[in-house]
Amino acid sequence: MTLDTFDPTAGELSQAIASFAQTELGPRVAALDLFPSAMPTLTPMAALGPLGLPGLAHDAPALSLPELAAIVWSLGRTCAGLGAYVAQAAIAQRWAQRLGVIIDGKPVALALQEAVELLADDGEGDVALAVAAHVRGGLESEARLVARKRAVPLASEASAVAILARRDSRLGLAWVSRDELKVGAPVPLLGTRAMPCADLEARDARLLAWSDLSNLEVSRLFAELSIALLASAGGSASASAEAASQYAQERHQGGVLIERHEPVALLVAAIHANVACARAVLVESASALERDVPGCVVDALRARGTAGRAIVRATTDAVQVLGGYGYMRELGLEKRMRDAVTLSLLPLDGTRAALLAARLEREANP
Amino acid sequence: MSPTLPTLHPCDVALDPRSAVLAEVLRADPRAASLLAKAREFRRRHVDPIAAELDQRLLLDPRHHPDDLLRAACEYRLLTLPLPTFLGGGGATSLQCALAMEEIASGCGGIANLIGAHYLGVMPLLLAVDLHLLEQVMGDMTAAERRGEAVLCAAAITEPDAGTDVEDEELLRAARLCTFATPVNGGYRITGRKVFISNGSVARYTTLICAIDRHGEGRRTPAENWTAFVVPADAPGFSVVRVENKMGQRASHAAELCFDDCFVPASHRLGPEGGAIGLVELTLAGSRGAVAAIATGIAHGAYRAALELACRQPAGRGLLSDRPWVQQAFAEMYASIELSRGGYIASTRAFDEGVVSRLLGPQRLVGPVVRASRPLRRTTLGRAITGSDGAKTLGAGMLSQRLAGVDVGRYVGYSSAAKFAASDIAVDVCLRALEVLGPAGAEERTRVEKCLRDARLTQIYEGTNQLNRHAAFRGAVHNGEHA
Repeated sequence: MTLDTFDPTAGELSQAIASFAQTELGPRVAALDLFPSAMPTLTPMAALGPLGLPGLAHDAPALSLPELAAIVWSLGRTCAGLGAYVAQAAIAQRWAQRLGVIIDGKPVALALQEAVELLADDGEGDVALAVAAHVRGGLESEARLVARKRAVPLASEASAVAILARRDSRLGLAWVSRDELKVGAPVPLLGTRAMPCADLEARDARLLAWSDLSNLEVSRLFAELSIALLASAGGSASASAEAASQYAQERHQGGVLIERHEPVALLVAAIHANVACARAVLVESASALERDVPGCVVDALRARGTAGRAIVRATTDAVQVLGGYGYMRELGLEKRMRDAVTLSLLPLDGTRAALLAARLEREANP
Repeated sequence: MSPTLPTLHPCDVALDPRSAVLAEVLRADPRAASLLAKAREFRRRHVDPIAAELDQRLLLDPRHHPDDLLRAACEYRLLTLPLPTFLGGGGATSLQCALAMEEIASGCGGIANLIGAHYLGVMPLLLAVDLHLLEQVMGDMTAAERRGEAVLCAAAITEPDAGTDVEDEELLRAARLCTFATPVNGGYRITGRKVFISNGSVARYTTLICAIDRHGEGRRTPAENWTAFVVPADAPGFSVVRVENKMGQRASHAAELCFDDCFVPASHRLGPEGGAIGLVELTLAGSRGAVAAIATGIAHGAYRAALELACRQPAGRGLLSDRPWVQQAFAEMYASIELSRGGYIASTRAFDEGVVSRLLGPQRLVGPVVRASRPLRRTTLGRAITGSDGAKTLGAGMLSQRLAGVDVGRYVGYSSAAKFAASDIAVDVCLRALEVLGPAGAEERTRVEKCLRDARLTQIYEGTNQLNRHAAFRGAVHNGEHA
């Protein structure tokens, strides 16, 4: 596993995606950003359909986490929302396969975020997952889910939803057909609007399947999804970095190119350094998670905060290099910043991820 | 160790900012306390209820203008707040205006900027001591406000290929300018474009700064020919080319203005030809403190919204606000906002004491003189005299005389430092507030994400923060302040 894996020019699939993203998706990015208010005819699924990506198509190849991250990075360069869309769907498919759950229809949504705060004090000054969703009934045929989840990505388009829930004292994923759920109106986010979100409610919903998960496995799910989503933001940040460099090489100030002004030169250098730092952290985390290296979940959860902040910083600084032009929606730099901030918070932010990691480590070394 | 933690109640923080810095100012200045209370009432009644909806509407229709809101602003006499009382204004100091700006920005950064950009357009008029234009523009503004009509001003400096350049004398000398005024019989013909002009599309009067180009001289030495004009919105040849679609602060339009052989009479020149460098410097010494106040207000708004949510959000057996890391985060945000507030209060107070008070002199002496001579100035002869070159030269001379020995660069340094520090803090506080709320922070309905979008602009306008650091070094550090 090398950094080259995240190079959009490496690998046939990545190349095909980069080309498709540029020609087919590029012109639609601005409209997708207005979703759901101004996009009655264009859905992300329709836009991405021809790609046959994992999580979206039945015959799509199973991919490793680094491969998925590379694809998502490529997509993120054009539209971080679409990259995030694929990341969500592919991680759901990956976990369905891992847990032996067969779902007809694509995509499957992952509902992890609670309607209330996800983390709670477990009574000993330690952090625990406060999952309010729960399954009632002992037999599979009688099992019913009661849940409220907020801003669930893909909820409105999914054929089924995997919902983080409790069954007795166990944590796990309740797989539920979307027909069993009440899906609310679209919930607009700061960014990544191509990935539609909606609140979701289950009132005695029948289960398609139930999968027990340990604390470590739930944390792994969070870690994998975080890394995949951040790859999309990272791709977007790399495009921001290139745009900032190009602008600095074209714009004059005080009679010279702005790249010759030390404050701007340092800003551009910091942008590229932050993108490189995030990419290295993401590649390392994706690779370690795939190979199940000891401690990889704790490391990935911790790294998630570092990578997220580096990406947010890079996209924010890129806006600064372009000044007023960077702030206007027309050039798309501000969208990359909004997308990056949004993806730095999903499915859980860096601080909560670090607290989960601390809990896991204490459990591993009591 | 898990200490016993206090449970916070949203009402405690929403009603009382608990700011030691603010408390000290309000104790010493009862007028500031009353203006702040007025601004707070305006925010609660007219800004908070519409801010989110207005932001969404402007996303799809950037030209929408919040007329109802401005009518309400007229009721509160907010648009004439910085005008001297002898001109019919509120006579508020820069510090008092900045406090009002912070309060309004805590409800919506865009609405605060709509009013703040208007003050920016007004400020060169006030500072240039041009009785002819003051009488005309301020008279129109105050009369309209009494009728409930908003007459707005704007300042147009930025050009398509010259943003930072036009706010710095050194950079201006090599700037790529495209807007020039050519002297003609009775006035000037202006040709060119200005971009990202806050309020540009809705202002009745735009204070335009550009170089006078006499036989190509203005292109060679723009700094020496840098001149200010007041351009009415109905001036022939003036048009609004477009209104930008921005990430945030949408309530304040950013417009591209076109001057196509636009005629402006000589009486609408503000100060002497080539006199705008000093005027812009004076304006920035005052206006950047106001931007710092807006940034502080946006940060305060994000902090307040996040705290209100955290105080209601269950987390296990307690609330999110009971969690130690969350309390640490709010403590950090509180401290940052206090520092930011202290910065703009210090810089605007210094500007009031060091520049404005010397410029205007005691209003109780100036006011009666201005009022008594008003009938005379309103005659045809009076207008001709006050609008003449001689009167403008006299005004400029008076300005120089009053500010003799005042190091304006130092005040620019103070306000620039306050501006870049407050705007950087605002973005950091907003990001912190989002993180405290976690994934929910990214949702529009939690209202914090809008604060981040609004805050981001404060790092860019009134000169990018890189330029402001440069100005702070030159004005406050290099001057020997900290030698």
